Amino acid sequence: MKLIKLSFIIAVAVLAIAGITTTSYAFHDGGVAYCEGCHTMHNSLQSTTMQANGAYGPGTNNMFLLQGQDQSSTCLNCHGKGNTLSGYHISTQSITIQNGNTTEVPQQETPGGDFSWVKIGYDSKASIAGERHGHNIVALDFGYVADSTNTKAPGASTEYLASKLTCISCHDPHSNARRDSTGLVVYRNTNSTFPSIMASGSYGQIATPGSAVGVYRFLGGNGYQPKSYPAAPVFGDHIPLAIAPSSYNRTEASTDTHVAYGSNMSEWCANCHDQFLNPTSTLGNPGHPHPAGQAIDTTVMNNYNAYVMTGNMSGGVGAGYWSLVPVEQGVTDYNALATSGSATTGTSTYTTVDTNAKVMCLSCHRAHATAFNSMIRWYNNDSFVTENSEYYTNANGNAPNTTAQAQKAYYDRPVSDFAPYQRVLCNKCHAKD
Amino acid sequence: MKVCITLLMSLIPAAFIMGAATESAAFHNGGVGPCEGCHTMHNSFQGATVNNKSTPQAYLLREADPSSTCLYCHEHQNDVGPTTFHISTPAAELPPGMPPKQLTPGGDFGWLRKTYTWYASAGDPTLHSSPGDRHGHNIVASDFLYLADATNTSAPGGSYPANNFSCISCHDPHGIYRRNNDGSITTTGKPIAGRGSFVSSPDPTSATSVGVYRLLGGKNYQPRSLAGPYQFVNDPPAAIAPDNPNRSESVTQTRVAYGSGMSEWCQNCHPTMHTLGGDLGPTTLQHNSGSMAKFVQPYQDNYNKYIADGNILSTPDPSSSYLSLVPFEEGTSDYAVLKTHAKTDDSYLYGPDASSQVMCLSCHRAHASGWDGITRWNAVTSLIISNGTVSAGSYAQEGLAYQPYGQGRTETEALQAYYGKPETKFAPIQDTLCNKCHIGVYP
Repeated sequence: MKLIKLSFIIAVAVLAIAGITTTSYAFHDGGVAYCEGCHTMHNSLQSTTMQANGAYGPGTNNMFLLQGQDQSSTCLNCHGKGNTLSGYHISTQSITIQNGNTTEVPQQETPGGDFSWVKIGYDSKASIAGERHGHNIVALDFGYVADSTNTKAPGASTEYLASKLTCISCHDPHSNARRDSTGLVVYRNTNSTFPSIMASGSYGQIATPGSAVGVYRFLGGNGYQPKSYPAAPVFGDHIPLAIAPSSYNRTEASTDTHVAYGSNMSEWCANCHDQFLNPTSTLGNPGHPHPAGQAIDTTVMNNYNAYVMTGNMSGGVGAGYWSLVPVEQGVTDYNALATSGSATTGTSTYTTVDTNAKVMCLSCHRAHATAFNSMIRWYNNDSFVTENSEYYTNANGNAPNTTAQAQKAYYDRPVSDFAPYQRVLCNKCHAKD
Repeated sequence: MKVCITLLMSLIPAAFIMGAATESAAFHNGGVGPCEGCHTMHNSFQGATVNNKSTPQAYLLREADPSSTCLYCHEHQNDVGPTTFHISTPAAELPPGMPPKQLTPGGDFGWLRKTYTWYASAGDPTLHSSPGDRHGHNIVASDFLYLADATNTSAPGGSYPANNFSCISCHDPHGIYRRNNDGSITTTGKPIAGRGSFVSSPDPTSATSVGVYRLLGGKNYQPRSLAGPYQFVNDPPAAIAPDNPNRSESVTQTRVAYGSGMSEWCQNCHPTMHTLGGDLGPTTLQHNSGSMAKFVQPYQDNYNKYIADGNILSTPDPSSSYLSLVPFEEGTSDYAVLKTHAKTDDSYLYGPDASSQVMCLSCHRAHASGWDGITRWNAVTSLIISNGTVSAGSYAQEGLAYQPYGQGRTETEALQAYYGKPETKFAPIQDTLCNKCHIGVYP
């Protein structure tokens, strides 16, 4: 009986959010969720404690009255509990930190990626496991530790300590920012009156007049700074405009998961990596970084639209867009993007890029983690993505050990989607292969 | 004839108590009531047994157990609405969809009889549940079909056994605790001249005392029927209720003037549930409550700015910010002050100042509520008002296939759980009332 009741408690926290399919659900509802979803006032519910880490008895809590030992652990209490591809999960629970010839395969295929890749190191000679594969969130209850190499956010004018990196470094769990019915971002904390959040804004819902939807993935907006890290750089007003299909954690074996990126993604990443943003300088200038945040030129546009795979530039109009190398559309109107039909797992209306499109950080990287160094979307440490019609693997090297890992790294795409000797996907834009 | 006599007997304690329809009345008179109101010496009155029992019950109680004895008067059949001192609605009067009737500040124990189920979304196959025994303090009152809490077998944060939990776990039925004119609380000394819980209650004098708030037990209190180390360590709180607190708040609020000591008193059974002070942060590991849990900034301003979701005053207005759904202690034991603040006509709606403090009853009701955890609002949903079935917003989502916010309640039930406060008092999309204090505190 007790077990049944315990299961019910867990169900309240988990199943209220999830379900069993991969569609998005309503725990956050685009804004601040119910407080007891993440916090516990007394660490007591139905004769048991609510803390996942079990550090204290009833009446004593973790810091900030969190249910997890730390902020990320609290998030992963729901988002890290999957061992198969499912729902809103962004971590594979069974995977532990390991170095060397592992055959473990992270399971989640969200656009941001499965954080478990940072636990998997391919090189048994290296002292560090997979920490080069993603943002190393600190989530001690789930075995995630701080980055030991990049002890500060790379490219940051104001340091962001790796030891402070958690889910709420990027996501505002209380969702101050929101989009009103016209699509404009407004803030709770800086206004006396503001529209209430009626639903998530990550999947294209438009607010009714007087109401609001949440911003994309309730990312931190203007002035955002975790309360637990007052020395953190204060975010600017750069909420990304993007819309994901509601079923976003899914295999791309048959069709792409097309997130419609509109604008501001690179500018938002620059909250912590400002030195990597390059909205203006041109190729050839000394010291310029890759032009994240810049509109593509005609050459890149033509390359992108034509490129199918190494040795095949026959794509053209209507066949160009590829979720492995996404670009921003250059759209700044949320409502227009929401109604454009471009965010989908089916046939998108955005298949041909134009010169409004921008290269962004997420053109090359995933936001959470990937199977590859620097959380790049493809294997970028050598020339080839495939060799002899097989995904490139390299036991005890820096590429996935197994074909199964590699296939998952490309979100189950069949290797036939690539050329037999597919070169790195920088060529989607640059076509040097 | 027997029925008539039994009926007459049943009227004896009731007649002591009732008086006018809406005034709190005097059976207890601030202390011990007439013995035969609760006990029966011989289970015999004018040739008949008392209240259909074949023998006297334990402790010569007239009912099967202490709580049943209390409910003999405090629950009443066929009330048409909130009625005087009644704090429970009979089970037979709670068909599906209908809420308990009483609206005392402590709440109607009838909520313990209401279990709700619902589906949250199309993709979520789980039938969610809000079991009745999560809605209140589970008094054992077998004559009135109240059973012990089967889940919390002891008091959360303490060890008080659930199977021994009754009205007299909190309320001293013999009312020996008295408030004196020097502010002290004693169990002996001057005689209790009357109740001390209400605005119209007498004040203690050099010759007389008054009863403590709601006959609550004080230091060293422990029911005779309970063995073990459960003696109270803290005295009853300083508080004053308006004379007619069992009422709808559809038009005006019911303001109990809580002064001090409530959380400390709750600690008698829930000793590890509270911290005495400190701000939320990495080193404070419990939610604040009690005498040291002052309304420091920004919480004070938050409370005084908050009107509803999306409607926050640019500058605090403490003169009208009080919300009876989120009450607070004033940080005083001055009964002269408290008596001027306990209202039912909205003539005193001042919010917290620097002396005010968070208490257990800021979030919970003492008896029962319509929500899990005995909270005053639904704290396990992100929205207490949503579009629901009414475009202007509704508490419930009655009739909808999926009810993530209303969670199985009918609109009638949800409205009653909010004491009749119309939805229009809040926003059409209204976050939980934690935000009354915490809006803007988090990043």
